[in-house]
Amino acid sequence: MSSDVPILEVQDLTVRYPRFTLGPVSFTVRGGETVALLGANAAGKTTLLRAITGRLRDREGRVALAGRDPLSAPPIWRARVGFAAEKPPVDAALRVREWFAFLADCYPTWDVEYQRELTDRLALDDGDRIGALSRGTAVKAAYIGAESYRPDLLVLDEPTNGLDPVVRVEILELLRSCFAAAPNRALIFSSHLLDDVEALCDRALLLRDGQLVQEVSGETLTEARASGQLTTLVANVLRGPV
Amino acid sequence: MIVDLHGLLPSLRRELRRGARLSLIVGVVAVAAAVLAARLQGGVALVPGGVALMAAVLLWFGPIAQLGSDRLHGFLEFDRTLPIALRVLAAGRLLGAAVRVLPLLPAVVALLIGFRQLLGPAEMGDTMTLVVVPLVVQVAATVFLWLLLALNARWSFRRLWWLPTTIGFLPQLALMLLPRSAQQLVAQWAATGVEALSAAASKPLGAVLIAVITGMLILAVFSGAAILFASGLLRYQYDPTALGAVMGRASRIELRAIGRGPLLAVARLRLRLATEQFRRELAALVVLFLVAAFGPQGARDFARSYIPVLAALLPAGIALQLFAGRATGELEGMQQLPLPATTVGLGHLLAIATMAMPGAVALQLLRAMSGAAPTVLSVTGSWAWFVAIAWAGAAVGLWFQPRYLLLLLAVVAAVPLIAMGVGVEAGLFDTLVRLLDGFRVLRASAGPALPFGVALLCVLLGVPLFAHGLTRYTPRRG
Repeated sequence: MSSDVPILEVQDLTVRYPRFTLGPVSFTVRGGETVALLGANAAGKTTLLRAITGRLRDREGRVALAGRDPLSAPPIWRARVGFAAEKPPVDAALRVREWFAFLADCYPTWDVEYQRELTDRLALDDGDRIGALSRGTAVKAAYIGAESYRPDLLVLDEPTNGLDPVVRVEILELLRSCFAAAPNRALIFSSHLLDDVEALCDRALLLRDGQLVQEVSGETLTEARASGQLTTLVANVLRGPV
Repeated sequence: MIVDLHGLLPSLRRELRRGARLSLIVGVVAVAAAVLAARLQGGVALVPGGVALMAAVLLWFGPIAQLGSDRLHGFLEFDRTLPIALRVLAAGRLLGAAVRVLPLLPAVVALLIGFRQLLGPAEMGDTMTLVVVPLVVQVAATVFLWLLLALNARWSFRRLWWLPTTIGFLPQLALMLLPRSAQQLVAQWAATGVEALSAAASKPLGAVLIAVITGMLILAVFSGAAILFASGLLRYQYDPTALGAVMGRASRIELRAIGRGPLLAVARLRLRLATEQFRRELAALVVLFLVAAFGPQGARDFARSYIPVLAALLPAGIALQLFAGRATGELEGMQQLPLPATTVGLGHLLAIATMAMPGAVALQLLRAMSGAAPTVLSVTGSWAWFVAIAWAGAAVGLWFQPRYLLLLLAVVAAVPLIAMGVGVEAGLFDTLVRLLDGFRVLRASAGPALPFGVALLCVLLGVPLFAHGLTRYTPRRG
């Protein structure tokens, strides 16, 4: 259920490192969309996600999040984007609930009830210290920290990699339910797990050597999966011309 | 220790690779400084050597910082899995560290050449001075580095500031435990020993003997350090807070949302972490106060020299939290909050100002024990100094990037040059002495206005510096 409102517009985004260049990359994500970012290791997925959320400053091209560049927008604009990677970005000595309490004081749109609901659904013990969390639990905490203020754009960097099947299913179901009826919000996530991609996304962006090489619709992914060709389809694109 | 070259060489090569480029740069700078110093006359000849020495001293901290980073990221766990004996691995690392700090040698030579140009060859002895003194400094610095690395690897210290002075104090403390007659006997032996060594050194055979004994001592320290280091590798456990607060029992003081704005939220977060960060320091402070009050004279001196450092560490610890966050990448969490960077900075300043209060009280208690009655002005003055120093440290630390090092060294070099260029003809030493005297006069005449003025200046300059550093921060990947 996508709307016509663009949540994220990326135009000729380029990030240069001494031995790697991402881009130029252009794409748009609209409200209600769930977009997967696929690519081999070192294809530039994390770089792209960090660049569109304003975490990378040295970049070229245009990034507009809800109409404004996150780098030049006022700081409060950052509340429109949520980013979660493998662990919460905060001192490991804090308890999870202390970190949530801190974020509640900083984010004007933080919804304590929603945070509690997510915590319950993911069966997260928020009394644990962040440094003592297992990988799966740390991912859950990072996700709740990024989702509890309902950002327009939620960005997840490999949210289900390395998780056990139980936690993986929990997170996928939660994401589905959160974004199924949210025409003004969008989700973009990177993953290597094609089942997750097919189960969750409306379309997938395929990245190879820093270039966006193909866009695949959700229907195509579903059809490819039904015919047992999903892995071949993606691998052929990511491998490139022989 | 059986020398296993197949294990030693990879370990040595890895350690060398980690700092090779910087060591090479500092080495070239030091040699160039020595050449330049030989061409200059007067006080200005000290500048190249001084700058090179500063760079070499910073380089000396490299292996220690990397050990801390290895502990933080769990790389030591990987070392344990290598098919190499841990002692061999440790020996390779210590040898590599010794090679990395070699630029200290030409840096000391450059400084000595500067002194010779300033004071003349007659004052600075013969050419032997330019060879023997740098060698002694290099060996002493290397041995000390081995000790610090080994002790830190074995006991996983979070902070090392107290270790060098404690190692220096230990022989004195051990002596103090002996009866007075035994103390006199030891002093007599030491004096006789030094005389005998001086006499022996003047003869060729004696010099060779001294060199052999020194070499054996160095080898013994190296072996002991390698054993300690290896034992540290064996016991190592991954610690996600290796640079931050100690992960013991969780603090009972728990952070809760208060809904009174982000400024207080940031300050409370830092203060909450400080409740765990300073448990050991607070316990040490209490013990040191007891020693300062009731201990024997030497132990009192020891305690009194440490109390101000611990007192300063209370506010400075907030800056340390920031540096730990910068090293781990957790600072990005602060950077990406929907708040202006200045608000985040002011939250940290508020936390520092709060932690400076117990620090100032501790310092004034120490003064009171020395007979100087604390006054409101002296307490607030100490508080202002602590705020100024800790905040300046936090802001500069956040702003600083390794690429600014040359800029910083250039500024350091420029200060004495400018001081001499504006007509101070008495030379560098006299200039420094005059500056210090001027500061003392200013401190006496300005009273509490000086610390408050300095604190205000630090706040005014530090807030934008902090905000710039936080905004530009990019975590190191990989």
